[in-house]
Amino acid sequence: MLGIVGIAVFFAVGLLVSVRLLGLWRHSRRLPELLAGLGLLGIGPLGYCVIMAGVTLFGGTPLERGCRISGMGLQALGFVATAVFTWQVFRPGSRWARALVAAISVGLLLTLVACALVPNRAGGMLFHHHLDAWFKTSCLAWGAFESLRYWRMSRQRVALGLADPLVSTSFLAWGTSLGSGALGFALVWAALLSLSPGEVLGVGVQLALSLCGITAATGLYFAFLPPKAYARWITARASERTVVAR
Amino acid sequence: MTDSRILAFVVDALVRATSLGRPAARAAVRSVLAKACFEPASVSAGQMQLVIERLLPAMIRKLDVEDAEQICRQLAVEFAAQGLTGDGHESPDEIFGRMIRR
Repeated sequence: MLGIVGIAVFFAVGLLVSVRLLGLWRHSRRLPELLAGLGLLGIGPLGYCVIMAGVTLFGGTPLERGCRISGMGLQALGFVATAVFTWQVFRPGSRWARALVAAISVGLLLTLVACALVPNRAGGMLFHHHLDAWFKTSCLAWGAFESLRYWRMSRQRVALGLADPLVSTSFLAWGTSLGSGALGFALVWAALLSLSPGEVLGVGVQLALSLCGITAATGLYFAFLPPKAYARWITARASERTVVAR
Repeated sequence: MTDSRILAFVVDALVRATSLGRPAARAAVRSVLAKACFEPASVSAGQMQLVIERLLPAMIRKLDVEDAEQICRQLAVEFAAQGLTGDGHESPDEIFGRMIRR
Protein backbone atom coordinates (compact mmCIF):
# COMPACT_ATOMS: atom_id res chain seq x y z
CA MET A 1 0.00 0.00 0.00
CA LEU A 2 2.87 2.38 0.88
CA GLY A 3 4.47 1.82 -2.51
CA ILE A 4 1.25 2.77 -4.26
CA VAL A 5 1.31 6.34 -2.89
CA GLY A 6 4.47 7.35 -4.77
CA ILE A 7 3.46 5.47 -7.89
CA ALA A 8 0.01 7.13 -7.84
CA VAL A 9 1.69 10.57 -7.62
CA PHE A 10 3.88 9.61 -10.57
CA PHE A 11 0.85 8.48 -12.59
CA ALA A 12 -1.04 11.71 -11.85
CA VAL A 13 1.89 13.94 -12.87
CA GLY A 14 2.70 11.63 -15.80
CA LEU A 15 -0.87 11.94 -17.07
CA LEU A 16 -0.79 15.73 -16.75
CA VAL A 17 2.55 16.08 -18.53
CA SER A 18 1.77 13.55 -21.26
CA VAL A 19 -1.57 15.20 -22.09
CA ARG A 20 0.21 18.54 -22.34
CA LEU A 21 2.98 17.13 -24.56
CA LEU A 22 0.45 15.43 -26.84
CA GLY A 23 -1.43 18.75 -26.99
CA LEU A 24 1.82 20.45 -28.06
CA TRP A 25 2.33 17.75 -30.69
CA ARG A 26 -1.12 18.48 -32.17
CA HIS A 27 0.15 21.95 -33.05
CA SER A 28 3.85 21.37 -33.74
CA ARG A 29 3.62 17.87 -35.33
CA ARG A 30 7.20 17.31 -34.12
CA LEU A 31 8.30 13.78 -33.25
CA PRO A 32 9.90 14.47 -29.81
CA GLU A 33 6.65 15.82 -28.32
CA LEU A 34 4.75 12.77 -29.59
CA LEU A 35 7.39 10.31 -28.36
CA ALA A 36 7.70 11.83 -24.88
CA GLY A 37 3.91 12.09 -24.53
CA LEU A 38 3.29 8.49 -25.64
CA GLY A 39 6.21 7.24 -23.56
CA LEU A 40 4.92 8.77 -20.35
CA LEU A 41 1.33 7.73 -21.05
CA GLY A 42 2.26 4.14 -21.91
CA ILE A 43 4.76 3.51 -19.11
CA GLY A 44 2.64 5.21 -16.48
CA PRO A 45 -1.10 5.71 -16.34
CA LEU A 46 -2.35 3.90 -19.44
CA GLY A 47 -0.43 0.63 -19.15
CA TYR A 48 -1.02 0.19 -15.42
CA CYS A 49 -4.67 1.23 -15.62
CA VAL A 50 -5.40 -1.54 -18.13
CA ILE A 51 -3.52 -4.10 -15.98
CA MET A 52 -5.28 -2.94 -12.79
CA ALA A 53 -8.67 -2.89 -14.55
CA GLY A 54 -8.14 -6.56 -15.36
CA VAL A 55 -7.28 -7.40 -11.74
CA THR A 56 -10.10 -5.42 -10.14
CA LEU A 57 -12.92 -5.86 -12.69
CA PHE A 58 -12.20 -9.26 -14.23
CA GLY A 59 -10.18 -11.05 -11.51
CA GLY A 60 -10.08 -14.81 -12.04
CA THR A 61 -11.59 -14.69 -15.54
CA PRO A 62 -9.76 -15.07 -18.92
CA LEU A 63 -10.26 -11.32 -19.40
CA GLU A 64 -7.84 -10.63 -16.56
CA ARG A 65 -5.02 -12.26 -18.54
CA GLY A 66 -6.08 -10.35 -21.67
CA CYS A 67 -5.96 -7.08 -19.77
CA ARG A 68 -2.55 -7.93 -18.32
CA ILE A 69 -1.06 -8.69 -21.73
CA SER A 70 -2.69 -5.57 -23.28
CA GLY A 71 -1.43 -3.40 -20.40
CA MET A 72 2.07 -4.82 -20.77
CA GLY A 73 1.87 -4.18 -24.51
CA LEU A 74 0.95 -0.53 -23.89
CA GLN A 75 3.81 -0.25 -21.40
CA ALA A 76 6.21 -1.78 -23.91
CA LEU A 77 5.11 0.79 -26.50
CA GLY A 78 5.76 3.50 -23.90
CA PHE A 79 9.27 2.19 -23.27
CA VAL A 80 10.02 1.95 -27.00
CA ALA A 81 8.76 5.55 -27.48
CA THR A 82 11.04 6.67 -24.62
CA ALA A 83 14.04 4.88 -26.12
CA VAL A 84 13.37 6.45 -29.54
CA PHE A 85 13.03 9.85 -27.80
CA THR A 86 16.47 9.41 -26.16
CA TRP A 87 18.00 8.42 -29.50
CA GLN A 88 16.39 11.20 -31.53
CA VAL A 89 17.04 13.97 -28.99
CA PHE A 90 20.50 13.11 -27.64
CA ARG A 91 22.12 10.83 -30.27
CA PRO A 92 20.32 11.50 -33.56
CA GLY A 93 23.15 10.47 -35.87
CA SER A 94 24.45 7.56 -33.85
CA ARG A 95 24.39 4.01 -35.20
CA TRP A 96 24.98 2.37 -31.83
CA ALA A 97 22.05 4.31 -30.35
CA ARG A 98 19.83 3.09 -33.20
CA ALA A 99 21.02 -0.48 -32.54
CA LEU A 100 20.29 -0.08 -28.83
CA VAL A 101 16.74 1.12 -29.58
CA ALA A 102 16.27 -1.87 -31.89
CA ALA A 103 17.55 -4.24 -29.19
CA ILE A 104 15.23 -2.78 -26.55
CA SER A 105 12.25 -2.94 -28.93
CA VAL A 106 12.87 -6.54 -30.01
CA GLY A 107 13.61 -7.57 -26.42
CA LEU A 108 10.37 -6.09 -25.10
CA LEU A 109 8.39 -7.66 -27.95
CA LEU A 110 9.88 -11.08 -27.20
CA THR A 111 9.14 -10.80 -23.48
CA LEU A 112 5.58 -9.76 -24.31
CA VAL A 113 5.12 -12.80 -26.55
CA ALA A 114 6.63 -15.02 -23.85
CA CYS A 115 4.27 -13.54 -21.23
CA ALA A 116 1.32 -14.26 -23.52
CA LEU A 117 2.36 -17.84 -24.30
CA VAL A 118 4.05 -19.12 -21.12
CA PRO A 119 1.70 -19.58 -18.15
CA ASN A 120 2.79 -17.94 -14.88
CA ARG A 121 4.27 -20.19 -12.23
CA ALA A 122 3.07 -19.46 -8.69
CA GLY A 123 5.78 -17.93 -6.51
CA GLY A 124 8.60 -17.68 -8.99
CA MET A 125 10.04 -15.46 -11.70
CA LEU A 126 10.48 -16.93 -15.15
CA PHE A 127 13.25 -16.03 -17.62
CA HIS A 128 11.10 -13.51 -19.49
CA HIS A 129 10.24 -11.68 -16.26
CA HIS A 130 13.97 -11.06 -15.76
CA LEU A 131 14.39 -9.94 -19.37
CA ASP A 132 11.39 -7.64 -19.05
CA ALA A 133 12.86 -5.97 -15.95
CA TRP A 134 16.33 -5.62 -17.51
CA PHE A 135 15.10 -4.10 -20.76
CA LYS A 136 12.82 -1.63 -18.98
CA THR A 137 15.51 -0.64 -16.48
CA SER A 138 18.09 -0.26 -19.27
CA CYS A 139 15.75 1.91 -21.34
CA LEU A 140 15.17 4.36 -18.46
CA ALA A 141 18.78 4.27 -17.23
CA TRP A 142 20.08 5.09 -20.72
CA GLY A 143 17.69 8.05 -21.02
CA ALA A 144 18.78 9.26 -17.58
CA PHE A 145 22.47 8.94 -18.45
CA GLU A 146 22.11 10.86 -21.74
CA SER A 147 20.05 13.64 -20.19
CA LEU A 148 22.38 14.08 -17.22
CA ARG A 149 25.44 13.98 -19.52
CA TYR A 150 23.87 16.71 -21.64
CA TRP A 151 22.96 18.71 -18.52
CA ARG A 152 26.66 18.75 -17.51
CA MET A 153 27.64 20.24 -20.89
CA SER A 154 24.73 22.63 -20.93
CA ARG A 155 25.58 23.89 -17.42
CA GLN A 156 28.96 24.95 -18.79
CA ARG A 157 27.20 26.84 -21.61
CA VAL A 158 24.88 28.56 -19.14
CA ALA A 159 27.94 29.80 -17.26
CA LEU A 160 29.21 31.29 -20.53
CA GLY A 161 25.84 32.83 -21.34
CA LEU A 162 25.31 30.49 -24.31
CA ALA A 163 22.33 28.48 -23.08
CA ASP A 164 18.96 29.02 -21.43
CA PRO A 165 19.29 28.17 -17.71
CA LEU A 166 15.72 26.90 -17.44
CA VAL A 167 16.20 24.53 -20.37
CA SER A 168 19.48 23.38 -18.86
CA THR A 169 17.86 22.48 -15.52
CA SER A 170 15.09 20.65 -17.36
CA PHE A 171 17.76 18.15 -18.54
CA LEU A 172 18.69 17.61 -14.89
CA ALA A 173 15.03 17.16 -13.92
CA TRP A 174 14.25 14.79 -16.83
CA GLY A 175 17.40 12.75 -16.11
CA THR A 176 16.53 12.54 -12.42
CA SER A 177 13.00 11.44 -13.27
CA LEU A 178 14.15 8.67 -15.61
CA GLY A 179 16.89 7.64 -13.18
CA SER A 180 14.37 7.27 -10.36
CA GLY A 181 12.16 5.19 -12.63
CA ALA A 182 15.11 2.93 -13.50
CA LEU A 183 15.97 2.59 -9.82
CA GLY A 184 12.35 1.72 -9.02
CA PHE A 185 12.24 -1.05 -11.66
CA ALA A 186 15.62 -2.44 -10.54
CA LEU A 187 14.47 -2.33 -6.91
CA VAL A 188 11.26 -4.27 -7.60
CA TRP A 189 13.18 -6.84 -9.62
CA ALA A 190 15.79 -7.33 -6.87
CA ALA A 191 13.09 -7.49 -4.19
CA LEU A 192 11.02 -10.04 -6.12
CA LEU A 193 14.12 -12.21 -6.53
CA SER A 194 14.49 -12.50 -2.79
CA LEU A 195 10.82 -13.25 -2.03
CA SER A 196 9.63 -16.67 -0.99
CA PRO A 197 6.37 -18.03 -2.49
CA GLY A 198 3.38 -16.17 -1.01
CA GLU A 199 5.54 -13.44 0.56
CA VAL A 200 4.77 -9.78 -0.16
CA LEU A 201 7.15 -6.83 -0.57
CA GLY A 202 8.52 -5.54 2.75
CA VAL A 203 7.72 -2.09 4.16
CA GLY A 204 11.26 -0.84 3.45
CA VAL A 205 11.01 -1.82 -0.21
CA GLN A 206 7.56 -0.23 -0.48
CA LEU A 207 8.85 3.00 1.05
CA ALA A 208 11.84 3.07 -1.30
CA LEU A 209 9.52 2.41 -4.24
CA SER A 210 7.25 5.22 -3.14
CA LEU A 211 10.23 7.56 -2.87
CA CYS A 212 11.29 6.62 -6.42
CA GLY A 213 7.77 7.42 -7.67
CA ILE A 214 7.68 10.79 -5.91
CA THR A 215 11.17 11.71 -7.15
CA ALA A 216 10.25 10.72 -10.71
CA ALA A 217 7.04 12.78 -10.51
CA THR A 218 8.86 15.81 -9.09
CA GLY A 219 11.51 15.60 -11.82
CA LEU A 220 8.84 15.36 -14.50
CA TYR A 221 6.96 18.34 -13.12
CA PHE A 222 10.04 20.56 -12.92
CA ALA A 223 11.26 19.42 -16.35
CA PHE A 224 8.13 20.33 -18.30
CA LEU A 225 5.81 22.34 -16.06
CA PRO A 226 8.22 24.50 -14.02
CA PRO A 227 6.41 26.88 -11.64
CA LYS A 228 6.89 30.56 -12.52
CA ALA A 229 8.68 31.37 -9.23
CA TYR A 230 11.11 28.49 -9.79
CA ALA A 231 11.78 29.64 -13.39
CA ARG A 232 12.46 33.19 -12.17
CA TRP A 233 14.81 31.89 -9.46
CA ILE A 234 16.77 29.71 -11.91
CA THR A 235 17.11 32.59 -14.39
CA ALA A 236 18.18 35.09 -11.72
CA ARG A 237 20.71 32.68 -10.21
CA ALA A 238 22.21 31.95 -13.63
CA SER A 239 22.60 35.61 -14.55
CA GLU A 240 24.52 36.18 -11.29
CA ARG A 241 26.88 33.34 -12.17
CA THR A 242 27.37 34.03 -15.86
CA VAL A 243 31.03 34.48 -16.75
CA VAL A 244 31.82 37.09 -19.38
CA ALA A 245 34.52 35.80 -21.75
CA ARG A 246 37.64 37.94 -21.68
CA MET B 1 38.83 14.32 -39.91
CA THR B 2 36.74 16.43 -42.27
CA ASP B 3 35.36 19.67 -40.82
CA SER B 4 31.64 20.33 -40.97
CA ARG B 5 30.52 23.02 -43.45
CA ILE B 6 29.83 25.34 -40.55
CA LEU B 7 33.29 24.93 -39.03
CA ALA B 8 34.99 25.15 -42.44
CA PHE B 9 33.18 28.41 -43.26
CA VAL B 10 34.23 30.06 -39.99
CA VAL B 11 37.85 28.91 -40.32
CA ASP B 12 38.03 30.19 -43.94
CA ALA B 13 36.52 33.54 -42.96
CA LEU B 14 38.94 33.88 -40.05
CA VAL B 15 41.94 33.12 -42.27
CA ARG B 16 40.78 35.78 -44.76
CA ALA B 17 40.11 38.41 -42.08
CA THR B 18 43.20 37.94 -39.90
CA SER B 19 46.88 37.14 -40.15
CA LEU B 20 46.25 33.69 -38.66
CA GLY B 21 47.24 30.65 -40.69
CA ARG B 22 44.70 27.90 -41.30
CA PRO B 23 45.97 25.55 -38.55
CA ALA B 24 45.90 28.35 -35.96
CA ALA B 25 42.46 29.57 -37.04
CA ARG B 26 41.10 26.03 -36.98
CA ALA B 27 42.60 25.38 -33.55
CA ALA B 28 41.13 28.64 -32.23
CA VAL B 29 37.62 27.80 -33.42
CA ARG B 30 37.83 24.22 -32.19
CA SER B 31 39.10 25.47 -28.85
CA VAL B 32 36.15 27.82 -28.26
CA LEU B 33 33.76 25.07 -29.34
CA ALA B 34 35.35 22.71 -26.81
CA LYS B 35 35.15 25.37 -24.11
CA ALA B 36 31.40 25.55 -24.69
CA CYS B 37 31.11 21.74 -24.93
CA PHE B 38 29.99 21.81 -28.58
CA GLU B 39 31.14 19.07 -30.91
CA PRO B 40 32.72 20.47 -34.12
CA ALA B 41 31.02 17.82 -36.25
CA SER B 42 27.50 18.50 -35.03
CA VAL B 43 27.47 22.15 -33.94
CA SER B 44 24.38 23.91 -35.26
CA ALA B 45 24.39 27.27 -37.03
CA GLY B 46 22.63 28.93 -34.09
CA GLN B 47 25.21 27.57 -31.66
CA MET B 48 28.11 28.67 -33.88
CA GLN B 49 26.59 32.13 -34.20
CA LEU B 50 26.63 32.46 -30.39
CA VAL B 51 30.20 31.20 -30.21
CA ILE B 52 31.35 33.73 -32.83
CA GLU B 53 29.66 36.59 -31.02
CA ARG B 54 30.48 35.69 -27.42
CA LEU B 55 33.64 33.56 -27.25
CA LEU B 56 35.68 33.96 -30.41
CA PRO B 57 36.71 37.61 -29.88
CA ALA B 58 38.48 36.80 -26.61
CA MET B 59 40.17 33.78 -28.12
CA ILE B 60 41.63 35.53 -31.18
CA ARG B 61 42.62 38.54 -29.09
CA LYS B 62 44.85 36.13 -27.13
CA LEU B 63 46.48 35.24 -30.46
CA ASP B 64 47.44 38.89 -30.95
CA VAL B 65 44.79 39.60 -33.55
CA GLU B 66 44.07 43.33 -33.57
CA ASP B 67 40.51 44.60 -33.58
CA ALA B 68 39.19 41.14 -32.65
CA GLU B 69 35.72 42.45 -31.72
CA GLN B 70 35.21 44.19 -35.07
CA ILE B 71 36.45 41.14 -37.01
CA CYS B 72 34.09 38.82 -35.12
CA ARG B 73 31.16 41.22 -35.54
CA GLN B 74 31.76 41.20 -39.29
CA LEU B 75 32.22 37.43 -39.28
CA ALA B 76 28.92 37.00 -37.40
CA VAL B 77 27.12 39.08 -40.05
CA GLU B 78 28.69 37.08 -42.89
CA PHE B 79 27.92 33.80 -41.15
CA ALA B 80 24.27 34.70 -40.59
CA ALA B 81 23.95 35.77 -44.23
CA GLN B 82 25.14 32.34 -45.41
CA GLY B 83 22.05 30.66 -43.93
CA LEU B 84 24.06 27.52 -43.21
CA THR B 85 22.39 24.60 -41.49
CA GLY B 86 24.06 21.93 -39.36
CA ASP B 87 23.48 18.21 -39.71
CA GLY B 88 19.71 18.78 -39.98
CA HIS B 89 18.96 17.65 -36.42
CA GLU B 90 17.43 19.92 -33.82
CA SER B 91 19.59 20.37 -30.72
CA PRO B 92 18.32 19.02 -27.38
CA ASP B 93 18.10 22.66 -26.21
CA GLU B 94 15.72 23.53 -29.06
CA ILE B 95 13.57 20.46 -28.39
CA PHE B 96 13.32 20.89 -24.62
CA GLY B 97 12.93 24.64 -25.03
CA ARG B 98 9.77 23.97 -27.03
CA MET B 99 8.43 21.42 -24.58
CA ILE B 100 8.75 23.50 -21.39
CA ARG B 101 5.75 25.51 -20.21
CA ARG B 102 6.77 29.19 -19.95
